[in-house]
Amino acid sequence: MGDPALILEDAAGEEAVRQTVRLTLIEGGASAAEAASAVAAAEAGGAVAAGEIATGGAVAAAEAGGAVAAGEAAAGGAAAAGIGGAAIATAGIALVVVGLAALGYYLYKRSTTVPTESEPQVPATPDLISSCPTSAVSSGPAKAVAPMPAGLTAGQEQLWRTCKDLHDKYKSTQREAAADAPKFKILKQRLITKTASEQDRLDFCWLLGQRLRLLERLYKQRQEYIGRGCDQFDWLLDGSSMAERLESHTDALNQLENQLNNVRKLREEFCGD
Amino acid sequence: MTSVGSLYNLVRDAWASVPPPPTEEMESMAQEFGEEAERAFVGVAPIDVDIDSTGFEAATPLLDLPARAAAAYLGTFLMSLLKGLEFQQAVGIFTDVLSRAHTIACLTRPSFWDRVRPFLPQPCRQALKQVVSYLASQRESLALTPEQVETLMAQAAQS
Repeated sequence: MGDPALILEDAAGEEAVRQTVRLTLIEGGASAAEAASAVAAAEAGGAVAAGEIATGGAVAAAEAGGAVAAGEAAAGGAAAAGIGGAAIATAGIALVVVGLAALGYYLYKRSTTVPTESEPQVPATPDLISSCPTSAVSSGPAKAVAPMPAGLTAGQEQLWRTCKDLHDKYKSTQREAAADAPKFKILKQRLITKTASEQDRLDFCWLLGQRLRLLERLYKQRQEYIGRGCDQFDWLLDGSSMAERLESHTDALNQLENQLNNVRKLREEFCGD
Repeated sequence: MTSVGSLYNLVRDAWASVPPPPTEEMESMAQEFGEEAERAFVGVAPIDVDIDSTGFEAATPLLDLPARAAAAYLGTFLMSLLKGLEFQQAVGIFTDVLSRAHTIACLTRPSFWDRVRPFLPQPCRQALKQVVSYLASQRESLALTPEQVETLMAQAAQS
């Protein structure tokens, strides 16, 4: 399941696929039906290649009315094509072309659509949000930091590797916790302008709960980093001392804890849990 | 009485003339906070950073950046803190947990003030002083301890 805004497009696109295959079969164009089915199957495998189909001339036709309208045009074209054999063949080809255009447009849109503030969004339910990818920003560690210093003992080398893993892990968690910023922006705008629906409020609370869980994970990861003595390593090579890094990281950890406690209390009142 | 909205404008106006720090001072952004953060900050003037973006929210760079860049983006983080506080006052909750924690952690460290103060133009210092005074008045909303308030006020007084 994807972004709620895309679910409507999913439905429209699937309808276009269904129409394309059904109408092509009615016209007896078996090979065309196979082609349409193949594109439909490609949709299941990956939208990018099929989306590129729509970037050709076909997309212009689809853009004139959108995927659903194009599908309807295809249906109309099919009815007219029932008059005679030659007309049927011509209409069948036209139908497949229009249907593919509609499908291509849908796939293209699906592969490029991102929610924006100005677009009305279908309120997302928590289970929909939970299944959304957390965006590219949450994947993978940051680029490598300072290389392992020379002259470490075997024990220090092992600790360096452990600390590097912990460092990368908590930085990754930090990025993951920020990945929902665009969703928050929309919901916050509705809350502050008092236009939020009850579902918006539920979504906001759910999203905040998710963010807090990630920040709690971040807290624990940073705590472990400090606890293992990782501040002996200067990742940024900024000339700071171990004591300075330890103090700075401890301050940051304490302040994070303060704000987590602060927001948890407010969340209980605001969200009623 | 000072409102959080007027302080936001004050900070934005004060930092308006601060240019983006040189790219070479921002090299740690991608490495430490990812490519989204790099896009949000690098080459972007402090008041033009999108504080609602993933890149901004992923970043806690003020203690890692060179002093001049940290002074520049302190303005951005103050703007975010004030926006978060405004939302909290209107709605009763906040979401800027990490960036808020980061900004307060920086402002309650005397060594941070020592680093950035020389790079803050006079209007920024004046704005910072007023913001700190306001933050102290909002100690409950911000969960500030008495020691933190004391540090904030002492540092602001030196600006």
